[in-house]
Amino acid sequence: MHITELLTPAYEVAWLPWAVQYFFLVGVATGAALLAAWCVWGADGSRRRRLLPAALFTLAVTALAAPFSLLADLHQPARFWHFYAHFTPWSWMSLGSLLMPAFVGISLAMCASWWSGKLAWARALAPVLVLSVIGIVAYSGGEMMVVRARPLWNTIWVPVNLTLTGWLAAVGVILILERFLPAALRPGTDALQTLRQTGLVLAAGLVVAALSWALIGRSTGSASFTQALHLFNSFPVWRTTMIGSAVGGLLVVAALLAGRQLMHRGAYTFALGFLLAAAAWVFRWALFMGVQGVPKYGAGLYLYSMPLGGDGLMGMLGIAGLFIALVAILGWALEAFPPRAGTAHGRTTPPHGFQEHSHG
Amino acid sequence: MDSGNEAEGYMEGTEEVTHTQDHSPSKRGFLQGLVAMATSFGVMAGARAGLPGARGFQPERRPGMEGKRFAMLIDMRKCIGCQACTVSCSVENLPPVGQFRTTVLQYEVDKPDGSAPAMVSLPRLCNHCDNPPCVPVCPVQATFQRTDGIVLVDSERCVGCGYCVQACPYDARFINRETQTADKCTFCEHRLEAGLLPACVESCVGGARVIGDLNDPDSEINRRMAEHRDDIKVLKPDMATAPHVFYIGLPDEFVDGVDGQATVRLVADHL
Repeated sequence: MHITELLTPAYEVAWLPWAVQYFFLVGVATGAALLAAWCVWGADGSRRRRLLPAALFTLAVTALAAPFSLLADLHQPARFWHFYAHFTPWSWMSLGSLLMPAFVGISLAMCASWWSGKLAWARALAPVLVLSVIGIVAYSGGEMMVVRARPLWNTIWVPVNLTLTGWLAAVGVILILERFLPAALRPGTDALQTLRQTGLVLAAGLVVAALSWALIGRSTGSASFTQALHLFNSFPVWRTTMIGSAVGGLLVVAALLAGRQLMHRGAYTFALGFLLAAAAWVFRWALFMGVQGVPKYGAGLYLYSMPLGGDGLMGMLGIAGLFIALVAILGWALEAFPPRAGTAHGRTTPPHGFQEHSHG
Repeated sequence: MDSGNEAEGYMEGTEEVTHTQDHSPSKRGFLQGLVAMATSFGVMAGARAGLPGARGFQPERRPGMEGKRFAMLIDMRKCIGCQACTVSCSVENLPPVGQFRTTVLQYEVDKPDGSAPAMVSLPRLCNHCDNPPCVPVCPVQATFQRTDGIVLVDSERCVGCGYCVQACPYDARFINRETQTADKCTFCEHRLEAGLLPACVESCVGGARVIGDLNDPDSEINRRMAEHRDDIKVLKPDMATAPHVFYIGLPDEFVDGVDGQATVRLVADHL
């Protein structure tokens, strides 16, 4: 029996590219937050401590930018206060409306403690920040995972993969942003090696997660794997996406491995950082915009043509612009108002540049 | 509730074991550990049942038309695909151009036996499910179900997050381009309250759509459903949403979605 659709309406996406930006930024923010919480407990002058400024810088930028894209994904952003007037504990999204501001607040408090030289405060905040990260990871992943209408989202592997790609992107964004820090606060090559090794562990975790999804899905005939297989077999665009993801994953691992000898080169760390961030971003694009194009009932795929305005290209460029502006402002602020001694550098013998900044 | 009972079962079971065992300190410690572990499993199961997204959880329904449970029966043998329902719904409810609260999907079905192709006209609308997945996800309780089964959206409260649109397994919801809030079929509850039929039912030339009260044993919908008991189907029954739009004459190939060749879809840019 062969069925041909003759007449069906066009269904539009309900979650706009803003959602891609939000999930990207918040993924990076949680990764940077965990790294910061770990690094703040490092000994003075250790690699960990030298990574701290870059992690906190990335955390501040992404934690400030993320809520804007989240708000903009609402079609009625001015009604955001309804979240608080009609709190709904049985909806993940409603829980997120409490967890998200808490995360941003704790993150900024952490950054401020570091900046004002209060290492003990920053260390005390670290476990709170970790708890907050767990909250964000749980709500943002849970929010998607409970959507049974979309089998590709309705799997535990979605939150796992969102988290791991987000943290891998955090490694990438830190690699890019560290160069915009004042010279004294930059981590240096050996600390970047630690970061690269963290990236390798995450990439390995991601490979394991992706393979587990496929192998467990294949053996149990899970709905998400079955639909993915159907998409792979039926649509060239999905075939390209999935093969592209696999190749992208291999590239990420290869680039991380190659970094062993190359982390002293600025161009290489930039390229590596961009690759890690881009991989996570593209994964989110496929997961949100691609999956929304899969009909829940009908045949084929729905077309998505990205509008050029606020609901599409301009919205994404706007958030990218906000990100760049925050990097510029905070980078400048750290030059103009350097962090107080005690936490800032974590080096036993501060380099010349640092002395200029902190005492000049 | 179930998980709570399960947890109690665990505890009782373990306690029985403690009574029958030799009470040497190490064994006691081990058994106490078991009890503690079983308790924590119980707590975890309880927490899981209480977590957002728990299957089957629904917030309390709001008052509707007293004592009724509305449902629709669609007799596909009588649908000629004229789209009169689509048009009358659009005239009645004024969704933006290109967005529909109800419409009739149309398919050509070719059988391998060389017979003439058959046409299938499938009227679609909100299923006003008894277990609507769109309701519990709403972060501001803007979408809700009434005691008469009708699922509605409070467009004054809706923040347009689109979560309910994702959660509906039937593509029955959309973000209204003009109001920027979630929109869907209401069973024309404003007409039902006034004693009128929904626009789509009233305009159906073949009489394919029947709306009625399932709680009334003498209603036409109950009578017709009883007559065709063996041929009543709903869309995607495996989703456990308990849809309340019932079909007579729905081919099996159309129950869980359509596996076929897609129509030529136009990008909705010009709208």
